[in-house]
Amino acid sequence: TGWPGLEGQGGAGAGQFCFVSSDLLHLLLIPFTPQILSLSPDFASYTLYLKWNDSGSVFPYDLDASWQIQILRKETMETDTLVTYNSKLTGKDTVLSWNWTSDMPLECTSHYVKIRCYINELLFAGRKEWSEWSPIKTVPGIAVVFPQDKVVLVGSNVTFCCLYNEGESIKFMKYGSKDYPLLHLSKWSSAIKVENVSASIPSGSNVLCSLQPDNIAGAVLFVGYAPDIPENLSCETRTFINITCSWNPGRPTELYRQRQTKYILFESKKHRCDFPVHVNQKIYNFTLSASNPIGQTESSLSIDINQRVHLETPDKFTVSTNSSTNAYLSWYIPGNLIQIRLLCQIEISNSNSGRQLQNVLVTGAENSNYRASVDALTPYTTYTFRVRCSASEHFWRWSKWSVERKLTTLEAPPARGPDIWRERSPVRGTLKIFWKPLLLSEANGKILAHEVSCYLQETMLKAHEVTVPLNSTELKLGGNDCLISVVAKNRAGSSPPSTITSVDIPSDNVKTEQAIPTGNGIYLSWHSDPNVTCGYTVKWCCSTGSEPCNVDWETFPSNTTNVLIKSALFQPGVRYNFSLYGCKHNGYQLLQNIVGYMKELPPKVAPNFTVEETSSDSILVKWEDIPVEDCRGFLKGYMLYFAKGKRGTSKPSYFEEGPPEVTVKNITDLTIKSLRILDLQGKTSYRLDLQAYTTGGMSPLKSLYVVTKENSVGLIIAILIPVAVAVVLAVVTSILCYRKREWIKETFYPDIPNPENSKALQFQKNICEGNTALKTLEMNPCTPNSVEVVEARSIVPKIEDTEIVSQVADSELPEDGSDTETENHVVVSYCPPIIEEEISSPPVDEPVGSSQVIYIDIQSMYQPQVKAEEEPEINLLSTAGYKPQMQLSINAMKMESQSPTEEDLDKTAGYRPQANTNAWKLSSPDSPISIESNNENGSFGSPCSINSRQFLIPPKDDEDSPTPNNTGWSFTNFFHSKPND
Amino acid sequence: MKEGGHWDKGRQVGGADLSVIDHPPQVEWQGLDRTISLDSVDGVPDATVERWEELTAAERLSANLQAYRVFQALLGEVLEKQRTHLTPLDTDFHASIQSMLLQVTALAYQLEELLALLRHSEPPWEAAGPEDRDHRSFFEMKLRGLKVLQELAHWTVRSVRDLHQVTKHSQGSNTAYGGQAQE
Repeated sequence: TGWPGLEGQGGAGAGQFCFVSSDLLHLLLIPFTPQILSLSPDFASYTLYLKWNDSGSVFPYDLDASWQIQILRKETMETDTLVTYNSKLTGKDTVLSWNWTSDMPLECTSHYVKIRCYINELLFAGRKEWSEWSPIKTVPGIAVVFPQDKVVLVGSNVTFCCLYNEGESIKFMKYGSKDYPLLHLSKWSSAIKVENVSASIPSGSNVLCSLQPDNIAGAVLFVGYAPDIPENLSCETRTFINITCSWNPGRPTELYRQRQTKYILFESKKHRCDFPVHVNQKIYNFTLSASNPIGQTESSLSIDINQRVHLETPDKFTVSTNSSTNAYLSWYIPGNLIQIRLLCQIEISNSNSGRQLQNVLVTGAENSNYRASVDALTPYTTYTFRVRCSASEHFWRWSKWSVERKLTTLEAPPARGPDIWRERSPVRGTLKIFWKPLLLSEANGKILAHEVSCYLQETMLKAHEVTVPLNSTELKLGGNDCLISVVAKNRAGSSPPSTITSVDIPSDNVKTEQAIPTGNGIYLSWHSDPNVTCGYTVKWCCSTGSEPCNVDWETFPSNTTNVLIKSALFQPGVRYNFSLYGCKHNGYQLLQNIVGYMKELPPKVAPNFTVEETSSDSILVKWEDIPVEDCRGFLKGYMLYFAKGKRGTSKPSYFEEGPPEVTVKNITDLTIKSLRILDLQGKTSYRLDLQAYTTGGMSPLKSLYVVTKENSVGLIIAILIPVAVAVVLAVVTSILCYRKREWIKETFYPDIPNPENSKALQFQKNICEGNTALKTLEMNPCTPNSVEVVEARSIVPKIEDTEIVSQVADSELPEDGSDTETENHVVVSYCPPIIEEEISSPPVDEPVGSSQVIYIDIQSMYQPQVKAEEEPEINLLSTAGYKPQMQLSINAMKMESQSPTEEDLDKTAGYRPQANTNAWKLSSPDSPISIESNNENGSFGSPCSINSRQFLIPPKDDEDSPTPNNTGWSFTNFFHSKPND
Repeated sequence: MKEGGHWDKGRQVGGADLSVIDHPPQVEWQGLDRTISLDSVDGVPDATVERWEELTAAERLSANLQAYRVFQALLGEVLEKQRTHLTPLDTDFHASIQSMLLQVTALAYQLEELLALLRHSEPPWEAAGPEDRDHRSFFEMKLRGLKVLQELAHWTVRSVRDLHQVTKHSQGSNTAYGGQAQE
């Protein structure tokens, strides 16, 4: 039992094999069940590929092994093949593989494979047996969708069917992402119908067939278009070696790779991609055929090759020069062009002159260089050249442009002399010469210096060179006038000379005019001078900052009478002085001086002005000119505003209160420097504002405050008139008062009866007697303020139902009456608040007549009671000061009791006239009521103040009565009642 | 394990939840439904394994190496099919596959080095199977491409966990190798 892993029957070996034994001779060698690693079908070749591990590592040495592989088919697992495969175990694990080709497509049905092993160990004495079969591996019969990988036209209707195996059922079918209803064709096949298919994505649209249990099948459908007829088929030659054709394929077919369009080009039944040009063949007939799985189209073309020459791009392009105006060009074109002439186009471009084209004809050659020259170029200028060519006789197409080449022409002497001018220098005997730099197009190179020389009758007196960038020099003439000549020099030579004489320029009777500002320049005009034969020169000077100004000038032809001078140095608001010179046969003459602005601005400062003199009604204002540099325009006038206003107010009144207050004077006469303002008020503060203006606008304001002098006459009149009026009024009043003194007395100071002469003092005694005592009450009405009758039945039976109570007291002291013990008195309270001063002088000698009034000092009567009660409200009442003496009728009492609200009012009133006029019985003889007065009613007439001689309350009925008594009453009533109102 | 063709449902590979892996963009690009079952596609290494915890370091590394060797071939095949048949214009996609192929090659090389370092034997090169047969339908090409990319994604996750495990064991048993075993 030297076998490794040999074990008794039933034991589980660690190795791949187990030995089952009863005794040594009856040992069984049964290899361990092998495992299939993989089983892969190749449906195309009907082949199954099988892999398994031989587990050779469990044996220490080589052994022969046999493998039995069984292949079964169908669901019923009918054995199809049983083959034996022999191998050698080499002591290590080896993956063995085996393949088997079926006689029928693997898709047709399911295939099952299992394997077992047999170890052919010759030394082993026991029985050797096959191992168990491995677990079955299955290759299911393939479910399949038809059609597979088909290409169809957009818009087609396509039916897909799905075939599957027994044991499977279909779940759904999809085209793209959409489910379609299934059409069941048979037990093992279903279909869907897809209508109007749209173009697919490059990898094609998917059809999916999902099966139960867990299997899928699918197909891809490519949807696209048939190729369009090729458009714009065009064939041409570039070199006369080959013919090249091109075309536009038209609409994309949406099909790619194997499915994309294939083009075939035929010429005389031969099909090639490029056609050689045959020496003797001029006409070529081409046919282009396009095809893809969906369709096929064709396009054809017939050409004469000489009319279809499209040359290659000129190559090796070079440019050279040896002069200031010429350039030489050379380029190469490949191809056998012997039989044609070439038309070449040279583009010459330059930053100044733009782009120009020049055509040249050259004879064709084989793979040759071609040359051309260009002339009339500007000296010292950089040009860019490029070239293109075509066949000249039958133009078909230009070649592409060659690359660009740059070239700068050589320098040439300057084309003309510089513009020159001269100015007398402040230093005597010195002349300053100015010249302008030449334009680039005139300089023909880089100007290095200017030579200034002085000639006297063709004899050069002196000469010197001024290097760039100076553009002026000074010449000392030493008293001699000469002809000054300036030439510009560059490397190539000198310009023609420009000359000017040094003779003084006459300047007689020169006027100064104003130029017109235009915003971007200054417009000058002058009258034509017939003597001017060689043009006009306008000279000016531009100052920048503190530096001395730059002399500048411009020359114009003789027929010019107006010019617009522009300069980058012109600034708005700056005055420029121009001198107009005429060039005459005998030299220059100053014709005119012109001042002007490029643009006028408002003056920078306010005019300086002062008040020269003031009077009571006028002010004399004087002002000064604004300095020229502050004017910033031509001064047009001044605006003077004046209005009343005081210093310290933030704004003059004319800004706040509008135009009526302000007076404006527009002074357009610039010669006027002062102005008298008239018609002013005396001793009044005025604010004066002055501003200057130009076309550009108004200057700032300058303000002054002036106070006019006092007007003495007016003052006197102002005092005298009121005094006179007052005196006259006083006199008239006095006279009137004197004449009407009686009436005044009656009205304002009527007689008041003397209480001492009346029987009022007997009132208390006689009150019970009624009628007899009432006579004293028959007098002018007098207002009782409050009347109180304290009931005392036993003693005064006659008036037991005639309780006259002061309204105030009644309301305030309802129990007072009951508490009042024995006094059966009638209380008429009255307290006149106003006429206190009359207490000291009671009128005693007044004629009383028949009228009498009873005065009772009710205050004195009630005071002890009030104190006893200690009612603060009563104190208030007692100080209210009016308690009319009154005897009211019972009716009146009732009415009062029925109106408690009135009583409430009374509490606060402090004073109230007797409201119930029924209570008043006027005994006045001329009162109609008194005639009807009933004694039984106990009328007392109006009570009067003990201090007053008047009745205080009129009867209401009589308020409008025209009787003098009532009139008198109404005055006092008015005064008394007024505070309570 | 694979239920109803929903390959992205909480699938466990080496104990890792792979549902977080993004679906290959190919799914959308080639009109395939992402719920499609890919079980019928064979020859693509499967990252699922039973009793993952019990694998030895050598087994883990060998399995990874073998898988990535297969993926090298598969990715080349997918790239070729995409270029010539399916997405001839989508050069960006081709570049992505190319880049993936390079990474897989590099990873396989690293795994070989690691096996040598840990003194484990390299698994044998398997003979080329029938996978590179030419006559596949376009639909099969699409499914196969999708399956390759999907399984490659699963394998990357499994590899991370496998290598973690190998590192842990190496550190536990032999610290001398442990440091070097880490990539």
